[in-house]
Amino acid sequence: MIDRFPVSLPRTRRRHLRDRLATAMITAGGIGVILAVLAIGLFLAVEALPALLGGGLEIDRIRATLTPIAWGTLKAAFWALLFAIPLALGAAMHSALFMSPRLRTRLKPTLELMEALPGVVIGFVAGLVLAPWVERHLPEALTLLLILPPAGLLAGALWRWLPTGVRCWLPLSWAGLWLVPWLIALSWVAMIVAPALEALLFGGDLRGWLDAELGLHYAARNALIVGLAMGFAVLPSVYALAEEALAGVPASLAEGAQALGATRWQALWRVVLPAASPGIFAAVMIGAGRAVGETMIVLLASGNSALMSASPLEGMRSMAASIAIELPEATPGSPDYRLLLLAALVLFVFTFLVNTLAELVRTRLRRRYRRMGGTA
Amino acid sequence: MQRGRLVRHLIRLGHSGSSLAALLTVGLLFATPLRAEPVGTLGTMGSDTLAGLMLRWGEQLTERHPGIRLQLQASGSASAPPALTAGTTRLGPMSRPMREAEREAFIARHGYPPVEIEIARDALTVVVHRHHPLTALDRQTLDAIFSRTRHCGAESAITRWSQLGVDAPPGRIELHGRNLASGTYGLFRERALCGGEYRRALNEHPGSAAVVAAVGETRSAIGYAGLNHLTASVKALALVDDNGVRHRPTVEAVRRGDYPLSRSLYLYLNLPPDGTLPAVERAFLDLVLSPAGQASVGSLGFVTLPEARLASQRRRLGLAPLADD
Repeated sequence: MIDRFPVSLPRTRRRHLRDRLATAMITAGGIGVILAVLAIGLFLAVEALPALLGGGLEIDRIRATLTPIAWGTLKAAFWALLFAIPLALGAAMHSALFMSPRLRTRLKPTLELMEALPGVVIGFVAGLVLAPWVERHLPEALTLLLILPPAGLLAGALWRWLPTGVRCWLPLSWAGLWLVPWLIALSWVAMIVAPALEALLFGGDLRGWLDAELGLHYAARNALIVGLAMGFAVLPSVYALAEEALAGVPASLAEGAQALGATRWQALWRVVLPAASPGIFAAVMIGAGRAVGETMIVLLASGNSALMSASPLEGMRSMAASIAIELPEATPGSPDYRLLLLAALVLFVFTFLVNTLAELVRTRLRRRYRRMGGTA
Repeated sequence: MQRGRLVRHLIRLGHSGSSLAALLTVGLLFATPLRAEPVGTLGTMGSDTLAGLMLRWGEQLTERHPGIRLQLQASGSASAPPALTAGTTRLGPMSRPMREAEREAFIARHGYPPVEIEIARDALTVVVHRHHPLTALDRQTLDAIFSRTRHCGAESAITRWSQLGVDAPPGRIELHGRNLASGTYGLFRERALCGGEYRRALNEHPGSAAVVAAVGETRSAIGYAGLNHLTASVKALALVDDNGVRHRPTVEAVRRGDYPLSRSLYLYLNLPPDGTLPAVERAFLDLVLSPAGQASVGSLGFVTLPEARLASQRRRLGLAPLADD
């Protein structure tokens, strides 16, 4: 003991030094990243602000250029979120509270793997495979979109009427698995029924009918396609965050509610959801931030036409896609260049605010769970 | 000093892959310094339209002169003039002529204008779906379809094929084109829309191949793309000039300059008026303005220059006349 002491002292000191060095490097790295982010913002502001402060650009031109692309950005994000949020939140609720743990451990990583898919690949598939297919099979695609959501509800209603013996074979906690054949079967029915429906309701020409009756023009690359593709990209991150928030709600809360006589549904709706709502809000915010900043999917699937139409069947042009297409060829210092940097600044500020807000809300939620005795 | 330079040469040449040939070249260089085989790296910066062609020429050049390597940066025509002005490159390929402001910036810095060399010709074609009944369009109609300003003199906008009286797909015409910053976008606007503004519904694609692919998918679509991007999925329309003569976008029509949407592709060179061409540049231009170099132009879908034009440009640059002259 005594003669080991002098040997171990330098070693602890060395370890001490190593710890300090590592801490210093990590801190320096963190500060470096923060500085880099601030520097990006500063660079954009310095480069773009002359455009606003009368650097040879009239306010009319700025408005004429930025309004359609700001509109397009919001439109694309809106359709993507409309598609992604119900699916992601539904999936999160089911997997956090109802799904069997065995299925959940397999499904969750798979869904999170979707997040690793590069936007270019999704955009490429959407623009070159999905868009032409939907254009050729518009009635089928629309029927699918109309049939699949109620089909899920219908499955739930039918399940309640099933005899108990069958219900044991199809437990609710495994719904994620046995719903798949049901949905595939209904999709198949939709594909068969669609042409007949088109002939019956629209005289066999849906696009002609849309054009003549509603004045809606169908463009091959449109908000619907972008919404589907980008929704697919946004879904995993929204799901992961919402799932984390829901699973982190202390079990004692729901158990207490059920012990007092609430049904599972009531416990979910009145206790767990309100408790996790800040986390869900944060998940939606992160999703919105990603949808607004997503570039390649919109670039490849939207047609990039600077339209101001609200129609989901027409294209749009987003800020991120504009920057990606135009910036490499814009002469530095020219008005076009400054306008693009201004768009970049707007985008930067927006995503920065949204992400910061989401992160703040999440931190507060975590603290609250800890107070309530949860694990997260 | 001498050894340091030799080592650097060896390292650079070792990178080029053909190290044995390079070693021999270096040996020759030191043995006969007067009849030096040109050695060095040729940096170019500019048009992405011309990237494939420059790459091909770079390969041919390395075959002819194993010591020369072409370093290519293709980020758009607009990137060439600033790079030439700043002196970061001596060769700038461009798919459009230099603008006045760009030329003036160059003169202000160097005191002389850049040398302009025409290296190939190209054309914009107006394309429709392969089953579309239309075969030709005149300028006014084209403008009425694509623009919202109608500077070419059409009376009313055309948004449906039925307005042209052809038995074409119903619904609105879908417009496809290039993005704002591309030379193709600007050229089409100047020549086909008489400098007017595109209709907002124009689908803007980041490349000509994407335009052709999109038009090939949609029966009611029309678009424009470079001649070398045409595929079997689309049909290129003939254009009717103001005298009522039809011009199909054929190689001959483009070479003669008859086809209304022809354009020239350029190489800009930083060369003082009294200076001689450095050996590396000389070797490159000698290749570009030779039958072998022009064969690459043709094989990549561009249009080769007429022989008279080749000869006159060789004379201007002080290159040896072609063998069969």
